[in-house]
Amino acid sequence: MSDQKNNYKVSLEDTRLSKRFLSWILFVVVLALFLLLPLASLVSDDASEALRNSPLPSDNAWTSGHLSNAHKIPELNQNCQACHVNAFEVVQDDSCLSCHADTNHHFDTALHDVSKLDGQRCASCHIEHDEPSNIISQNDKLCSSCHADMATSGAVDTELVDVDSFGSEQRGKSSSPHPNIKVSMLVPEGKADAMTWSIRRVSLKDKPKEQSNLIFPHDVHMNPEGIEAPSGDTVLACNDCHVTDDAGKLMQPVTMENNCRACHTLVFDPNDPEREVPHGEPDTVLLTLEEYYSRQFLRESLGRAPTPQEVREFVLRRPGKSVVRRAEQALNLASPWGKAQSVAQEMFEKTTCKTCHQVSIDESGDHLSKWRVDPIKLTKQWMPKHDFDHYSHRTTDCSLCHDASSSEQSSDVLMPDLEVCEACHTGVRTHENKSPTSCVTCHSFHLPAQKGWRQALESGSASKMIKQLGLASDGGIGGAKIVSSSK
Amino acid sequence: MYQSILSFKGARYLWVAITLSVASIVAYSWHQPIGSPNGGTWLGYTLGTIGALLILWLLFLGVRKRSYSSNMGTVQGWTSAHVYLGTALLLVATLHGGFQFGMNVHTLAYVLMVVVIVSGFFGIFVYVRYPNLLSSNRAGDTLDSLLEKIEKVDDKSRRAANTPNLSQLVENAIDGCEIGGSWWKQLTAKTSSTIVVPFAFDPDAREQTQSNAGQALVIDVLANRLSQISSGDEAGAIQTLLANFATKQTLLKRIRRDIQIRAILKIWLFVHVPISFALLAALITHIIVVFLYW
Repeated sequence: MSDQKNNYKVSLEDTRLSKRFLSWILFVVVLALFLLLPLASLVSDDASEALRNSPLPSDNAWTSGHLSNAHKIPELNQNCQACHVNAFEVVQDDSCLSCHADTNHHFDTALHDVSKLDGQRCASCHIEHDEPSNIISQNDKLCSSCHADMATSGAVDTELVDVDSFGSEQRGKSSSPHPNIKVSMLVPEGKADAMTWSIRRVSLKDKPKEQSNLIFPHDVHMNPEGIEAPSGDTVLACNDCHVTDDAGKLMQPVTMENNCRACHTLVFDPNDPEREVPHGEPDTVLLTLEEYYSRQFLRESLGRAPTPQEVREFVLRRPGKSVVRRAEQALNLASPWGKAQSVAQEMFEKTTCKTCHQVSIDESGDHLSKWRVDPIKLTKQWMPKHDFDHYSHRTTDCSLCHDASSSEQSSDVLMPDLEVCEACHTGVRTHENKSPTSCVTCHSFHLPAQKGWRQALESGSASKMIKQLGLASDGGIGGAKIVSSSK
Repeated sequence: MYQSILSFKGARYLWVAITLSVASIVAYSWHQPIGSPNGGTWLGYTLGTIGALLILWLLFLGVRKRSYSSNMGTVQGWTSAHVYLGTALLLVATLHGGFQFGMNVHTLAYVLMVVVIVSGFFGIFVYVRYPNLLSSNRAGDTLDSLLEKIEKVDDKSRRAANTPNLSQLVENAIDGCEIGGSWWKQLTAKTSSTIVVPFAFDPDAREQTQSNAGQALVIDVLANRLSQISSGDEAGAIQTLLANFATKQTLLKRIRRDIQIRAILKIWLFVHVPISFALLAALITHIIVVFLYW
């Protein structure tokens, strides 16, 4: 009976199917195709090239994810070993710096000893082959791990306050919310011709006043019913004066020539609207007026231009001429000087110049003009450490951030403070109604003012070594003044 | 037995698997790596190590179940743990990779693992469902006893055939009767039984080999013959033969179903085991390669 059963294939074991055979085949095929074959890429470039041009798997099959878009170039995308130089070794900074040589450090490593950065590689923050790509991480923890507690981070004598969050939603909950925005203010010293400026960072919380010496009421210029102009009443828009640079990022400086002169002409004689004084030194202005009225006097008194003979007679005192005659001539000729002086007084003290400038009087006689004008210095960049971009905010109305229409004084700082940013932006990633914004949206890690990454690390390690040896560093800026002492 | 695998010792390994899964989910939700979650973070390495060790242990079931003298727990307990921890592996490995997939060796390992686990799910399904069908189809018989019955009915048919032509027909039908066959025939319960019908019964067939699937043709030929002769010994013999082949037809149907059920109960292992070894190769490659190009 069992003989007959043996003649039939009544179970899978009786067929040619073999688990053991299939297992061996698959094991060997997978190992050969995906491990052994691509290993050829490590041995020879030619083999690597041949494999990549074949349908067989090359070491590209080993990638754990696509390269970031910035790195999808033939030199990298088809060449794993451009970055993975040595087998079984993590990618070293040298690979990154071979292209990104001009990458700067975050702070002065000779001054600050931030041990949290010890042993960190470029790839510790810039993660490749990640999907979605994280080559520029938006993870705020990278920043807050130091900035939430600057005292223990290793930063020495820093003005930076602790920050662990951003957004009005976190303000109440956080122990170290984002501080008010600081702006770089120009602070004048000295008077008029000897005036110098220094830069001071001031928190908008302290309601700073700009000291530009300009007299300019925004509210008058922004009058919705218009402002008087040579061509009639004109309604001004912000961008009539404030124009962004070519990149659309920052505002170009406002200048008299480009932005004011169309309305604020420098005409001094209503009967001669074509003539204007130059916009410049008061001496030059006065000289222009004297020259203008001298010429006018001569034309009016002689009816013509003086002959060379007449000029020579006045200028060259020749013996035999009457003193009375010369005194009479001098009085007549003084008339245009008087006219120039009175027009200048009107312009400097009441109308043209005084409209925009702070004018003082200097009787010392050191200058042709006794009227002195305080130089104007407008702030070009309020937040030089910030990556603010006007272009990306171009669809919003200027007045949303800059309250210009109610500003009466040019000293008003119209920079928006943090709550204005926080009306639209928040650090809360899950927020539905605000734009989730990370630290690096506004702040940079690699700061142009700092040393190159490699150079900074070397000087940093030198200073650490000195400290470890029990020697002192004077903490000189830039690490240039590291000196040892016999402490 | 199939129930006792799943509920072994109060489903002890179900709770182990649930604990592992919940711990993995909690850690994954809590962990906020610098980039996207991936295998290269500390949690990624941790889950990857757990997953790799699980795979090696799950593969080890194949060794354990062959070691009859082993005292490392019962095979039943191992199988129960194999099922539950194998299911948990699906979650552990998915979280290890942070849901990042691509055309690469890492995703190949993942896909092979999924195929192994899903084939395992099919195995559990058939272990739960098919043993009942198997015993109801056997109805107290075994495959051997069914085959014996076939042999007996064949002997009866040989004895009943009282003319040379009938003997030839019966012998041809018995010779051409096929049971089982290739893995495909076993799984689909297809029969390839054939018969050469003697010239006397069907001159048109010219003694060519014809399909006798389900013994249909031999019964048809016998019924035709019966309609041509009215009485006599041959008619009596044909009636006996008709009854015998009908019995054989029913027996064959049950045997085919028996073979089919047993094939289904095992066929998933022909995916589960070989793909496990493909997975082992891909896993070795995966681990070497991520550190080779670290």
